[in-house]
Amino acid sequence: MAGFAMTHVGYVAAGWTIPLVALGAYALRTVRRGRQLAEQVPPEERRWS
Amino acid sequence: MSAPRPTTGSPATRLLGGLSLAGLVLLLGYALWWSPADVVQKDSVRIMYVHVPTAIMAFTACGITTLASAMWLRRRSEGWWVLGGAAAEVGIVFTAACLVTGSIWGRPTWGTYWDWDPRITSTTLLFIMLVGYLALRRIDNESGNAAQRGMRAAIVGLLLFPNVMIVHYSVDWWRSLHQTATITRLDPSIEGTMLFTLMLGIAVFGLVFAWMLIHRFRVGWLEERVGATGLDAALLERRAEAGVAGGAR
Repeated sequence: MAGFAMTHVGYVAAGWTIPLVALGAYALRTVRRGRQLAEQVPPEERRWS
Repeated sequence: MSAPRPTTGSPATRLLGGLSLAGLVLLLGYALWWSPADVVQKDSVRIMYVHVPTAIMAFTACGITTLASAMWLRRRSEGWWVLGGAAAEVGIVFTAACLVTGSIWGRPTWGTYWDWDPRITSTTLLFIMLVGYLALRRIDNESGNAAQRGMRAAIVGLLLFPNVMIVHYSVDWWRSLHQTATITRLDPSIEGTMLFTLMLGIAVFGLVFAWMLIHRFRVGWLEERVGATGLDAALLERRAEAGVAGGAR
């Protein structure tokens, strides 16, 4: 299995962890902001729900 | 049983989100284990399976922002305005991810995190333009009005996609550390599991991008609704105050 003899492990780990954490944090922030705003808007204005 | 809490989600976005997460797990398997190391780059090639897809999604976001800016200038409709802002914000996240992953990959491959390479420099310029576009949308312009502010932002929005073309062709136009086109030509220079993993990465990050764009668009739509409600309430309050003051005279 390639994982045991991997070169540049630190770079590969950072190269995947940083963007995934950043994208995950942004997604979470967007969903939370959406929840806060959706509560202030009547259902007929939320066409998707 | 109480009613479900309102969100920006819908059955379609929940399906999209589920597919994105499942796709990411599969992609991690291929990118980190099942695909082979490159003969020259060794295992640092695995960073390419996140770098290239994030770059493509960043460029797609810029294309959408340019289209939305053009349509807003033509029709002045709220939907295009919100789409432009949503795509630019998601684009900033993907452009930042592209720059960071490129920098991390560059250290073991080129021996440096940064170089004034045409593609790196033009992508950084793209990032700055996206930030500028959003800043122009939000800037408090005392002497101007919303239409002027929108016009200025839209003009910057129109320049985004031409800059994407500069990023793409920069490796052909100028001497660059980056290699020329790898997968857009008829005979790609990678094949087999590596090509499959790269294509899977583009598909999976495409799903993630679509999910984010839809949610961010809905957040923008709600912000406009809440803003309009707040403005209406403020106007009613001012009129009530004026009425009271007028009646007291």
